[in-house]
Amino acid sequence: MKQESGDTPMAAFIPGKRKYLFCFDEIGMSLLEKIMADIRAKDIPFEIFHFSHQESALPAWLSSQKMGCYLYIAVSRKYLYQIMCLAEAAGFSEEEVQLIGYGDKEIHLFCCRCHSITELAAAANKHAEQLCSCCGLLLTVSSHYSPLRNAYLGYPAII
Amino acid sequence: MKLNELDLFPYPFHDDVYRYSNNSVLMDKPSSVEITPNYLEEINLKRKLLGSSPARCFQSLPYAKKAQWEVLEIVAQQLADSYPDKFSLDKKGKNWVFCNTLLNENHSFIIGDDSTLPHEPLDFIGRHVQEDLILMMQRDGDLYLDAGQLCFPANWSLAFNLGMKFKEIHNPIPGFKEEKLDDRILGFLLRVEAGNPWQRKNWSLMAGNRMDTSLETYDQWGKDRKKVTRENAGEFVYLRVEVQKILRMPRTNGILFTIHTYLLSLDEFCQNRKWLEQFYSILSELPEYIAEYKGLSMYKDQVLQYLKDKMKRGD
Repeated sequence: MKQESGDTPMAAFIPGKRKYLFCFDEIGMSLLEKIMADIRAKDIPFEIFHFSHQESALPAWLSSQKMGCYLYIAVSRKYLYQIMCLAEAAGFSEEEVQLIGYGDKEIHLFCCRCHSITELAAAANKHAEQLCSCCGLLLTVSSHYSPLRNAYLGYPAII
Repeated sequence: MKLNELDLFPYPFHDDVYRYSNNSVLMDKPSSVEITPNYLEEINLKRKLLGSSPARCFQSLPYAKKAQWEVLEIVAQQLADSYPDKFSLDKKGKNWVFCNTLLNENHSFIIGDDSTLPHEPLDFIGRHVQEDLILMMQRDGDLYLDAGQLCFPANWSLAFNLGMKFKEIHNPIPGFKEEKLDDRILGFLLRVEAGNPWQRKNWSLMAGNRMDTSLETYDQWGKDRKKVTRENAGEFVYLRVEVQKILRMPRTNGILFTIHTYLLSLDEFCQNRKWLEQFYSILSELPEYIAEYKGLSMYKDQVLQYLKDKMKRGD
């Protein structure tokens, strides 16, 4: 899955696909405008899906697509992981999806004691100690990452 | 001390120097679990922990259910075969009856039918054995932790590690990746064959004799490390050994890890003079990165002083 990187998200056109799928929210749409205009001009099949965070039709839309599609997802970073998981669940491979996120980057901290997730701004000092938002345990942020939890493990800061 | 605890203790060292390695050996007599004199005590503790902290002690992903049933079948059959005076497994077609005379329990169920068990299959059979049970499924050339029952962890979290690949799980071990040990051990595990199980021992020191040293409760038991002195180390510090068994499951191609944890106080351990001398050599030479990961940096010096005193006295 091609991941967006850096502070200025850019979508890259991947030619040669049978059909293109665009999933975006209001701001995300502007990040895909150029690619969508090119595809329209070339008369290549495409479909669009307007995402809102209360959306429930997305899994069905993703699952109804056929082989040979290429999916662009351009949404707030807050929802990027969630949509990426839906795409994976619908059978999209890493090679068939491009992620373009915007907005503040967040990292998730998994509390080793109560298993709650605390959201941290990625700009925050990762080496600083953080309080668990649920049980209040003071945690140090480790580099141990769980893809399933989409979170870094927090260890007790004081023993 | 239990009557034959010293005799039963799985001494984990071969050399006077310790480093991380793949120290697996083929098992002489293939087995997944063992019953020891601590059975009732440890099963009671396990069930208590599963009741009070279910999310800490059992985790599973939905697609591992078929493999969980295979774990139940392997472990229940082995209990009945190895300890026929304590366990039996009666199979009439799909209707099975598992009897545990140690607990005075009979369980009837239909194999493969989740609704006929009081818990998920791995969680069910795990409540009859002292071992922690970890199920790793093989796909795309990797092993994934897809289910487990873990009541006596050595400071790790099953809830956090669920769904991880082998190398992701072992990422925090210093030197593991740099020395390519993760590649070598993963390659080894992927080649383990059904019918030829392996066994390895892992060790650490513990301040206190808790079996349930989970990461979730680290803020409670971790502080005991500060209480170790040269004088109290003998009765307060325990050598903790995990006997890990590695079995390939023939039907679902998963790997079952069973982990049997043994604790022995240093006072008891040092009754064996050879063990005392070898452990002193190992600990004296142990690199700091290993001591740190095993959680014994804080009191290693106190333990060394204790061992030295013990050797001088010759008792």
